[in-house]
This record gives sequence, C-alpha cells and structure tokens, in this order.
Amino acid sequence: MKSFEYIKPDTIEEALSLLSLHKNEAKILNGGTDLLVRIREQLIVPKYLIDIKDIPKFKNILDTGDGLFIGAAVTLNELIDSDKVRNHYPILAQSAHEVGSYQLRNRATLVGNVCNASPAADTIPALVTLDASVKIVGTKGRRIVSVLDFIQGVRKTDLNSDEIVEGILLPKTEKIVGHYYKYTRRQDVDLAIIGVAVLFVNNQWKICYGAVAQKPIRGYKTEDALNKSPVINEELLDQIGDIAVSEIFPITDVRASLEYRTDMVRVGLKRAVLKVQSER
Amino acid sequence: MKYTVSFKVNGERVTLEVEPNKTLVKMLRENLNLTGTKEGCGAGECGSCTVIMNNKAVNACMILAVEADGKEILTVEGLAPNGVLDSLQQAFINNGALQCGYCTPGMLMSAKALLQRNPNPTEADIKEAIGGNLCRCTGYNSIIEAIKDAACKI
Repeated sequence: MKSFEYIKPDTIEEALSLLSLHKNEAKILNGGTDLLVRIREQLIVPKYLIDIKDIPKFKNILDTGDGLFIGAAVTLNELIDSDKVRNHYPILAQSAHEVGSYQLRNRATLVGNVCNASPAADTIPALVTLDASVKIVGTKGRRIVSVLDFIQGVRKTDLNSDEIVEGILLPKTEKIVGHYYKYTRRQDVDLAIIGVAVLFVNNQWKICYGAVAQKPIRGYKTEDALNKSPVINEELLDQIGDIAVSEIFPITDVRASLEYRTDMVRVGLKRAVLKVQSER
Repeated sequence: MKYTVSFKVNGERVTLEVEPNKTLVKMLRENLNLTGTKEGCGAGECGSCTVIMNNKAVNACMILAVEADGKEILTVEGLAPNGVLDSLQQAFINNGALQCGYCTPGMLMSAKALLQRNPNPTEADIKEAIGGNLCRCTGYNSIIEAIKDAACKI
C-alpha cells in the first residue's frame, strides 16, 4: 500500500489539532479492519493516519447514569464480553458477535462499524432499535446525533473532517428482549444479505432493517402493525411481511437478488419476532 | 520515513526500523524471517495470518507493523520453542488435521488462543474460534477433532 505518516496522539486535543492541520489528507486509524483494506485496494490514499487507540477515554465502557457510554476504541469482543452490555443491551452483544470473525472482533470496534456506515453493518440495526447516539467531539465542541440520523448513505455519515467520534451512547432502558437476524451464505466472515433487528421494550416493538437500502431503515409501519396486534402468531407475521416489504428498498448485487432479499426479509422478520416473543 | 518498533516476539525482545505502511505479517515474514505466518487474502478474511498479540488472536495483515510497538506477539514458531511440539501441534498430526498445511499456522494460533482463554471448549466454542480461518483441504472436521483432543490433554 502507498505510504503515509503514522501519528499516535495521547489526547483528544492532540488528535483534533492533527485533524485540523491535515484535514482531508488524514484518516483516523482505530481498529483498522475497514481502513487498511481500503488503503490496500487504493480506494483511499491518506497521507496521515491518526491512531486514536491510546486515548484513555476511548477505551472505556462507562455507566453514565443516563445509560452506557462505549468508547471509540472498545473492540467488538470487549463489547461482547462486557457484563454491562450483556445484561442491559443483549441485542447489541448478539449483533456484534455477527461481525467478521473472532480475530477480526479483537481489533474491530463498535464505533468503527458505525463510522464505516456500510449498508450491511451488523451493529447498526440493533443500535437504531436501542435509540443509540453517536457522541462527537470536534474543534468547535461536542455534539450528539442519533445513530439513525448519523448514517446518511453508503459510507456517508454526518461526521465533519475536523471531528472524531468519541463513543456510542446507549440510553438507560427498561428490560429489553431483542434479536438481530442476519441472513448470510456462511456462518463467519460474510456480509449480511439482509438484517432485521427486533426489539421489545416497554411493551413496544422496535424494528430496524439492514442491508436493504442505502441506510438503515427503521420499520415504523411494521412496528405499528405489531403494536396494534393483540396476538402475535405466524399468520399475523405472514401478513405483516407485506408491510415490511413496503418499507425496504433492496437491490440486486453479487450476494443476492432483489427478489431473494425481499423474501428473506419476510423470513427474517418472522423468525426474529417469534424468537423475541418466546423470550418475553 | 522509518519508524522504530520495539516488541517481544516468541519471548525475545526485538527492535526494528520499519516503514509505516508495512503490515505486521510482512514484518514478521520479511524482517524477522518468521515465515510460518502466511499471507492469504491480506484483507482479514482468511485467517492464515493469525498470530497472538497481547494474548489475543488477531489477523496480522490488518495490523500495521508500527502498531506492534510495546506488544507481545506469539507466532507458530513460538509453539515449539525447544523443538518440542505443543500439544496442539501433536494433536493436529495425530488427527490428520492438515493436508497442504497453508491454513495450519493460523488454525494453530486461533486454537492456541482459544485454549489459553478457555481450556475446556465446547464444539461451538471451537467453531467460533476457528470461524475466521479458512481451509480448502480438510473439511474442518479433523481440525475440530484435533483441538478437542488437545483440550483433553491439558
């Protein structure tokens, strides 16, 4: 891969000042499992890599009082192993476990998965159902954006070139039951053909579809239909499948056809809802 | 422009000057002649470059050489330091868990990392641990049996 300068700041201030200086010629190096692939394939040619893994605050999973803060440098395996995440946000641990492979999850981060904003990202649908937000720090200060608003398109986020994502904020919640259904061709190291995150919390259903549009799709109509139904069974879910299909915009690509994706969303929704229903 | 990296590999302290765009797998193979670790896909998908860094199984092709500074790395060469095979290596041989051998170092390191963190793994644990290691020859069953076998012997 083409060469670059590698810099490892110790503080957020240092990192931000490097970004201000180098602007679009710099890229943030975190887990590196998306970035290095893109550099190697010459899709991007950064002149500077700013390694943020040593910044102390970024390595924490912290109880904020209002919920949980997951720092930028927390790896997916650390997330999965965290009692705080498993006990309160199990759907997030389960989704994180779907990413890549064991080795990859020892380097890849939750924040990286969000910032990379692949339409097939595995952690994003769960984060959307959890009403998670992105905590951003920049030279002009800090701001918080919902994950749903943060993701704007394929690999496009709301992040400015002088900003860094510090972490993900998960709001405090009542007991949740959830499941992320990922349909893939093989068990590990495969992108989602479709993804359906189903959450049940405070007597309400929350649904988010992944890999069926340029951004994650919150299934508001699907949720409405589920919330209105006194009885959830296979028959109902077969009908609600039509509503689900009306909310998504799948495409045909190397992994699957539009038609197959559409069919699999019906299957995924049904299976995920029935699973959550059985665990309520 | 070269950077100084100082780290431990297979118990030995090493200090090198490397270009920032060199990956860990290339540094191990080219600067240190530790060619046991293989580069298959170079994109973190096949696992043939798996090494153990600070007790965690990682894909060395997805790590820059400069990121190894201050770390402790174990490669397949470190499994048999005095020529005595690790119980995993012996179990792979006893169970016929290799044919061409290309995936084997990566498989061994994933398995080693597994047994270090979980000496009594279930079959599901084993499959999770080697899920990121592709094998085109064996069909995986002999590898899984070999890991079960080695786990029993700890």
